[in-house]
Amino acid sequence: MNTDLRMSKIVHFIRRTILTEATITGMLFLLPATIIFTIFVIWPVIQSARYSLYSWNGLGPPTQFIGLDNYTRLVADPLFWQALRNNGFVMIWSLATQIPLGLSLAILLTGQIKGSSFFRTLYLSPLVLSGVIVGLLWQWIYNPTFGLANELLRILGLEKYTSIWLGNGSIALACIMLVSTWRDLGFYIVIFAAGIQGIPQDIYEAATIDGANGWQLHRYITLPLLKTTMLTATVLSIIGSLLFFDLVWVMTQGGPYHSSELVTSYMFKMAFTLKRWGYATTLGFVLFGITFALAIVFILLTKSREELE
Amino acid sequence: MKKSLIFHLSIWWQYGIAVFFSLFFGFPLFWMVFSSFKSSRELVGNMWALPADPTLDAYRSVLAIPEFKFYYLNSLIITIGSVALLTIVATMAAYVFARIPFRGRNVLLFVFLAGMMIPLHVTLIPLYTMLRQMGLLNNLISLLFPYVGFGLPMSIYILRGFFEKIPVELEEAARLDGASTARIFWSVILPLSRPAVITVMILNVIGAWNEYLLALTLISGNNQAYTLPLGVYSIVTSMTTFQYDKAMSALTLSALPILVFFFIMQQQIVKGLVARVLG
Repeated sequence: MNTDLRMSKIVHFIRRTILTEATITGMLFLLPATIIFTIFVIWPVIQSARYSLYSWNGLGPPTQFIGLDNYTRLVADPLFWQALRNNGFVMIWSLATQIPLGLSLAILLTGQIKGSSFFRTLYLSPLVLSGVIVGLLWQWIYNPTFGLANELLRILGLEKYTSIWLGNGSIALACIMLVSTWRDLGFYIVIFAAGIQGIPQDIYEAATIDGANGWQLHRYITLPLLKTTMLTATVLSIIGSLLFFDLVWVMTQGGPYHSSELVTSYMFKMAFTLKRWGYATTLGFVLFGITFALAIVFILLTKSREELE
Repeated sequence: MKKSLIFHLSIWWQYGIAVFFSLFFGFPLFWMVFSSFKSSRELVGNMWALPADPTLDAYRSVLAIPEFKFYYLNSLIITIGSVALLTIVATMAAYVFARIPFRGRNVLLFVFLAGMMIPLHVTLIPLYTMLRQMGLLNNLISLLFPYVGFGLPMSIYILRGFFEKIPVELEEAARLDGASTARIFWSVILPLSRPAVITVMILNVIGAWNEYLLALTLISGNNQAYTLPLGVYSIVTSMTTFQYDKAMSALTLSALPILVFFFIMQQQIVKGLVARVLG
């Protein structure tokens, strides 16, 4: 009895020391990541909230506290609303291309055709390029005098449709979005293809035996089973549209006359061209708020879905 | 049976669509490469023709730009440096989040993962101010910690998911043999996690190599510190349509390393893209 008790005490002691050792090591392991993340990601976000309450030209530290004036100015700023509307256009374009085209091409590539890995390689290759290279290349393609786009129209006998593309305010953003589709579609094809490959083959076989045709197979099997993937893709597409920047900055810098201005490019101009840092951080902070709100809606949606299942 | 007939399309239509999109995705890159072997005059004369008389003149003059190789070198240094540090720091943190429970751990994990939704834009001015105070502005080093910081959420997310799937028994066996936690991490967990660690590294290599916004914000005042995206931008935008061929060869040269990397690592890249989204 006595020895048993002593044994259990020893075991308990050992277990506790082991746990403590693991916990200490654990804390040490977390330390570098936490320090870097706090200083270079979290702290700037907090600072940003503070800076947005100042009028500040970027020289020295902010001193002129103006409360919420930047926010009221933002609400009354027509350029902000135009930028936000343009972000809306980006979002609609992205959702209307990436989800249906991505899904259709994923179905195509996971289907009967041979050489699908070759096609996938081609479709995915623009994705790994820097937005700068992509933007510059397409700037040359859209070049009004010596560009491939106008050259193609001339060859096809559609000369009257030739355009100055990025120089034309009513189509500049659409031209950029075509490039965005060119670069990013491969990503959506790949994640949808992975989702489709995760669907057990026998479901399709059983349905085929029951007489389902190709369209029905996808309508009643692929689509419902890919709901989570589609939801994730939708959210990525929406967040991507809000944070869209590289291509616009390289190709038009928001021009001509703000026709392709986005919240991100407007913010960057405010900060580093016009040196209105207080207002620029306000723009950044509002962007952060919108993104975060959408992300939380997404988390709640997936949560409720999981609870249903 | 292979998965289904696509809707009602015959196999020929399917190939037709696949080829159409191959041209859409592939032709601009193909055109960029073959145009770079033409003379400027030939290029403007006929955009579509393959080079009749391939020449390396454009490459010679682009490579003669003295800064060009520094851009590569800078990109290489910051990519290797940030990915190395990020890999070490992220694997250690992800292991704790997967295996070592303590009070407040889940809150911390939530903060890290929420970092995936923080737009880079909101941090630009504070980062700029902070690095200016540190005297690191316009220095390549200024990019190191922001790259690591913004790479952490996604890396921890993928690695933690992988670590959780490793059977606990392996660790317990090692612990009974008297191994310390650090030892278990190093000799049991890491060797088993090679594929996941490599996947994460590849995604971060692509991210750091292509990164534009932070570089534009933090180092654009110093030509010597330019990474490849900043460098190729300054080179190509200074060219006129009379230097069309040189613009194409500069773009081809900048695209080449990452495209080669992509062709070699394609399987892992696809795995990584999927893991990033679907866990």
